Amino acid sequence: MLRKLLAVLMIIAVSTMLGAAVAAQDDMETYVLGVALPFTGSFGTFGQDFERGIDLAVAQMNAELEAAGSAIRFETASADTEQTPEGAARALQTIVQTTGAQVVVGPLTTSEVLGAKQFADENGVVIVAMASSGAAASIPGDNIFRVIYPPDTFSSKAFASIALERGHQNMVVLYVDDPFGNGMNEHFIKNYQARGGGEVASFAYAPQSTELSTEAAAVSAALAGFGEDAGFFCVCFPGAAEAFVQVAQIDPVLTSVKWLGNEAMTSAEMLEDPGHAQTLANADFVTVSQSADSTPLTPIFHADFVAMFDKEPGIFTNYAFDAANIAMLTMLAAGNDGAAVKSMLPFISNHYIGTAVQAFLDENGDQAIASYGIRQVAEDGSAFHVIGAYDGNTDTITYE
Amino acid sequence: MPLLELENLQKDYGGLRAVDDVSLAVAEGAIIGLIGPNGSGKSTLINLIAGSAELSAGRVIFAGEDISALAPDAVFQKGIARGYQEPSLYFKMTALDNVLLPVKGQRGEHPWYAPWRRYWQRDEIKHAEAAAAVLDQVQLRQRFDTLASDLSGGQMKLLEIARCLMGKPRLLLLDEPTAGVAPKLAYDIFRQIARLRDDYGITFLIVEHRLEILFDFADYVYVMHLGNLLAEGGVDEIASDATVREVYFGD
Amino acid sequence: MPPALLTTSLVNTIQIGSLYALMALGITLTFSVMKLPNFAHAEYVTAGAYAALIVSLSGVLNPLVIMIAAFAVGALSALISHLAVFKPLEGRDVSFYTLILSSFAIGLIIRYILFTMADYFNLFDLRIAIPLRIVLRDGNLILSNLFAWVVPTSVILVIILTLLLNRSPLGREMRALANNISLARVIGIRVERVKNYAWLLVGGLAGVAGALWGLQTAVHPLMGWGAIISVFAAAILGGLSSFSGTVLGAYVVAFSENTVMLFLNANYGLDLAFKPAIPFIIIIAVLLLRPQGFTNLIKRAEELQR
Repeated sequence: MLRKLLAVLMIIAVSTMLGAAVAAQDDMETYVLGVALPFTGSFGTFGQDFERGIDLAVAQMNAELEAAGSAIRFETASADTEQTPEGAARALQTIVQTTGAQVVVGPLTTSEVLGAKQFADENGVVIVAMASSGAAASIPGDNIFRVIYPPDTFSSKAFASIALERGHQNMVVLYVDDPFGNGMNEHFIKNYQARGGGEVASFAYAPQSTELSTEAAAVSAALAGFGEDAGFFCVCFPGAAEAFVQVAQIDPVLTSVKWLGNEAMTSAEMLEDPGHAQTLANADFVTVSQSADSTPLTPIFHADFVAMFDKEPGIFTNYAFDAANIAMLTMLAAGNDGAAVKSMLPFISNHYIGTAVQAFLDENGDQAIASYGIRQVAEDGSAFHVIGAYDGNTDTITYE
Repeated sequence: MPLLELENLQKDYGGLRAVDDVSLAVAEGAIIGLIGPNGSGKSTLINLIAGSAELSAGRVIFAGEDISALAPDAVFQKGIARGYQEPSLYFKMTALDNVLLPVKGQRGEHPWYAPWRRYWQRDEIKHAEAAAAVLDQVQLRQRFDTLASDLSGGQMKLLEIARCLMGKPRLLLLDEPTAGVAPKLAYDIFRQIARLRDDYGITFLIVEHRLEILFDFADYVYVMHLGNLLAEGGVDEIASDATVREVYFGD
Repeated sequence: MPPALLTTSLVNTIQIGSLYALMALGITLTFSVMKLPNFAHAEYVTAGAYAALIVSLSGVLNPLVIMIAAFAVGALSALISHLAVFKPLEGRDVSFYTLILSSFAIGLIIRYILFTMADYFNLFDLRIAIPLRIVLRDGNLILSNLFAWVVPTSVILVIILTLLLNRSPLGREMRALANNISLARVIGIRVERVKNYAWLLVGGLAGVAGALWGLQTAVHPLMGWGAIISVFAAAILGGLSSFSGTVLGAYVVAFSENTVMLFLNANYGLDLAFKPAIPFIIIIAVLLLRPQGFTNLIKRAEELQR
């Protein structure tokens, strides 16, 4: 009996001591940085690569804080958005309810951002998105900040102007049926027609489609109906872009008109296939995307990333790195509190020089520096070359 | 040594004991009758021997080998074939196909070879000839191309026996081979059975309700009642056994 | 509908219908022989496509070699999923629903193995490196070398499979399994072996379909899953039991997704984004109105022929 009592006392003593030890460590203050990204689904690779960029930012920040003797440390808590609006809402809810995070970096696409919006607004959680550009999420006063990539309201103007410069009397648009694609299509039509363009025939494809021959047939027929001076504008996600070019390359109409397209059409995979490269070259393919000018920080990020993960960072990975830094810097200034972060984030953003571009937020909490590069595919289809720039703030195109 | 030995077979379905401590022996080349009222456990016993039901206790010894734990296809490969009370055939296949199904080691069974008809055609013809011979034994040769569903009840029974023969069995388990068959044909079926025993030395264990026919052909008879073995003996012995008469005929 | 669009859509119907047929036959075969609606089937397609992609990336561009590699990998993944999951579960006498769920689970496992591999070697949205050419152009009719590969391969494989099932000893045994599996055991058919063979065939056909599907679109870990609902719709139209019904169903689904969809788009402005809904509509309509699919129609046609 006595022995049992002793054992119980021992356990109590040990656990008290452990608790004290934990409490002693607790002098450190830990801020949780939520990470909501698609780790599965067709954008799973983006999500995984973005998370590495965020991990790098957090590791560097913690090292600096330690060297400076600060008591604050950051840790991440991540959840999979499954690349759907519902999944993004669930991911946000999971992160917030299990860790109490006040600030979440992500999600990726505009449809995911919009899916997570309601929960974020209602619970005072701040969302810092890195690559969403859909015009549908440009909403003043909400808890969503899109700090790096400017909204498509700008690029749609550039695409409209280029279409007219190329002499397209009419346009055919193929776009992904989600908030990003719908927004791009809507703004493109508006800007194109406001600037003197003619009719626009638009076709939406379902985001889950893996095979686009029906869509290609419809686009081809619409182009044939418009006649020779019509142009084609493709707003596709990665994967669908390759699948579309695959079936378009033997279509006599699609291979005889000029193409415009969003950035997903310019993936490395696209030019690896000689047939695809040739198709884009024949179509004088032009895209408008955020200016890829590097800042002094870009090569440093690249070297640090390779040193930490032993692999090259993917496209846009530095956007995630920058978004995480803006989020953490704001939390250091405003504390671990959603409302304070929301009020202070524009100020911090506007004083942040990142690895991609200077950030400057508009009244919607979106990147307002709309500096785009215009890229065209080389004649032999070997690469995309910068042929000019578009300044969204003055709405002017300059060619090199 | 007997061909088939059952040692203390037992089968429980939940709380119900369908077969209770049954031991019996079947000599090679004999026609053995297995009789008893409905629900006495005869069919269950057949299932236990054929591997279609799992034993609760006991052992099945066939040709000196313990086959208690074998699956039905393995039991068949050992040389025990069975027929059912309701003819169990592939009704959408021809009589010939039904008989060809159990043939062991066909060349065209293998997926790599099956698309190359020339490779297995000779082999198939050989088997088809053997099948025709077996069909001949049960007088079904003329009807080889008929769908099994188009045969008469008695012919279905005979086709089932033919299919069993194709596996070159040493023991045939038959569950009421004459059920639903006209009396004349029922005699025919038993005559075939006796001939097969005489010509090929096949042993038969037959569950049968038509005692008058069975008693004409059986060498030895076991009587089951409520899962137990009630009596055994020669035909005359059983026919005059008072306890058998009591459970069977209620007198 | 302009004639050029009609012609293109009909060519697409034939091309995609042939691919659906190749995938759907495997589903019908698994359902009739194994009594399992196998959702992991999509993943055998993807595995075959990746095998084809890797072989083509290694520099071998002979379509026959590529398809054999795809067959082998598809067959192997089907056999492994049977031996590792379905067979042990059948031994435990689990319910139909457990089997369906486990087929989803094994599909997810294969899919994410492929995802991990694709991520490690960066194999997303690549194409099997067979260049695309136009082989025939006559007015509105344009046929590519892809069409010239896809359609005859599918047709030949469908014919071989049908003959195999109806004429060969292996087919006889498979039909016996499909019809009455416990009787097949009793009459000494080596049921487990025949099942293994059936899985090899099912997976192999799916693998070849994947290689051809990878020529039609880009290779991605989700490509098989993207097609599976259309493929199930085809198999359900075939009543999940009839081969000719399944092939007919595959072309009906492809026709609805291409020609009918484009007709509705051109004349009634129905958005092309509704395309993925078409197979769902077909499945629901068939299950509500005609659960047996085409089977009875085909039987009646055969009777009339006699």
